Amino acid sequence: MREISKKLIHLSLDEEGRVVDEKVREVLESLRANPPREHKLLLHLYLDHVKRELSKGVAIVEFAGKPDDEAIESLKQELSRQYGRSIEVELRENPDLLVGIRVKVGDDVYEDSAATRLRPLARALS
Amino acid sequence: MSNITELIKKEIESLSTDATRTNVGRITTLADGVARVDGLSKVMFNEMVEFPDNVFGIALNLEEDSVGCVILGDASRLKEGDEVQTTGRLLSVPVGMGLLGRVVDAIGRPIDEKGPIDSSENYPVERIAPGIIPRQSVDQPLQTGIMAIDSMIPIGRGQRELIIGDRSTGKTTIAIDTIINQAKINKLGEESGDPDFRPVYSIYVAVGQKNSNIARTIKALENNGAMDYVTVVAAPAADNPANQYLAPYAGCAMGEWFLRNGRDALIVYDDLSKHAVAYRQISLILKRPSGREAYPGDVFYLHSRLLERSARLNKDSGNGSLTALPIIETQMGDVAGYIPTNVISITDGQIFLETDLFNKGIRPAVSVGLSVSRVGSAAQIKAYKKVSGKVKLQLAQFRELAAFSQFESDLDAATKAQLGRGARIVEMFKQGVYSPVPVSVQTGVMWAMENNFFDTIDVSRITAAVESLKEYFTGSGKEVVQKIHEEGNLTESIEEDLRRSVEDWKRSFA
Repeated sequence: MREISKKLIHLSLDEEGRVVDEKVREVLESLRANPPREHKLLLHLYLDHVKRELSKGVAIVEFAGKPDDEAIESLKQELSRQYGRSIEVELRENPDLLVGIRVKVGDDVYEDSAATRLRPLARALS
Repeated sequence: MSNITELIKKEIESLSTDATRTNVGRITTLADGVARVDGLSKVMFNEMVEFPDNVFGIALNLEEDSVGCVILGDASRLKEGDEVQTTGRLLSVPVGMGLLGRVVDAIGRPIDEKGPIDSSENYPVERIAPGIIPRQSVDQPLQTGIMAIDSMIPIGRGQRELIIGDRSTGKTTIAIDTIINQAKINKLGEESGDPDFRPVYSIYVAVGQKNSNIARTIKALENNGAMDYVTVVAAPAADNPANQYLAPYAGCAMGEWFLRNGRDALIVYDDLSKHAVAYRQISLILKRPSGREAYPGDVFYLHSRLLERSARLNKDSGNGSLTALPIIETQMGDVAGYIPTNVISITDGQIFLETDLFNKGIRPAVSVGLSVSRVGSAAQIKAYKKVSGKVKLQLAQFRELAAFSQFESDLDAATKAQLGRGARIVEMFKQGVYSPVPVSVQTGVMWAMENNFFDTIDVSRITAAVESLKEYFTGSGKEVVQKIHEEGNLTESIEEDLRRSVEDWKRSFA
């Protein structure tokens, strides 16, 4: 089942490795027309893969104190260069950071915030 | 107060100004102390991962789209969806002299309410065992203080000697006696001021035991003044299986510090049967394929990689040693079980304890036929080797002839003498708990046995006679024992002194 779901995700990507809505729709239609055994489980696995692929192309930028547009644009360019694919930026305010920024691309997290720096101190005092 | 401000200042100084990069994932399932995590694509095998609320875990299963992590500590506050992040560190424990006299848990945190551990160094719990080049063969004795063992199954520094037997046959007692004996030798050595004296420090790892048993062991060590030279690593039955799985490796890392710093250490794994069971539990929850008796395929490697870390290093590598006394509990005396045979094949010999002997009052209940030490005899001191050389053979002959002993009236004098000698040796080896005997005293007693001084004493009085002779050697006969200790050999003059002393004792005993 995992192997099939992996093949489905390959069918959903374009040449640059991005998930394309149209291709996902085609995969779903094809599955609906010829429902496989354990259709629901396969769809769940497919969903997990799609989510994972989508998260690779999006940088979730959390901040406490909004960065200016220029900084965001430069961040976008730097991340796209580093990961070798176009990265979209999604901004979210997070007051828990106190001061600073946290960027999440896929499983990778880059963080420079007061909250991270205070964490070892809190651990040492606990 | 000033300590706290200093601590905060230190932390502020150590704060880096660079952004941190970590790899994260999310808990998808959580059960029995094991979390399955989605993400963590860059996690390393055996890397420590951080869960919320200062809970740590270890990444043990790196699969294609998920990671299986065992949780160290309280998993009750964690929930599905919680973020997990890599730390870039392998699990390490504090090591060094500061651990002596302390009781710690499987990851080296103190649990004896004696404050923080005074240690500036950490060693990873998993480490590759020393290779061929830095090793040296075993040539220094590690005396247990138990006559039956030191004479017939001698142990050397750097050896791995398995203690195996059913429940309640005295396995832990042998290990504790050995630790107490090391402490006694250490104290005497330190008092003597001998610059060449090499103390043996001990680590006792309790895996899957009842808390009351661990407390009793610690009490016994304290009462016998041994705790100053001992570190206890406790992963009791109430601990999660991850801690029980890790405890032997953590204890081994603490022992390795002595090994790598040119010192001698002894480590007791009590016991590896429960360790294997804890590992089986983790493996089954991690959905690893199970094999014989539902143990995972790498259960042999589990113990071989642990026990291979015990070694004697050569002079170029610091001359340190780590001796291991793993303990295995058998079921109904079955030494052919899966885990017992694995550990027997890994170790350099075994001390097999028999329930029947224990119930007959022969304690320690060492089965001479099934026990063996493959390398230890090279480490015996000359004096002791001289007097104990024939004992194993005499006992073997005794056992063979014992079947005929019921027809004693029909036996010839030589056979009767062999039977008598065997019965007296069996009585001589009976020894109380927590009362190890110095090897020089053992040599004196064995010499008396080999030179027929006990032959005229009735078998039923041999134990009392041996006790009396031991007392004599620590009192008015201590000069000759001291000479044996200093010379390490039975010279003609020492033998003459020994004869005079034993004759003197025998007059008073009679």
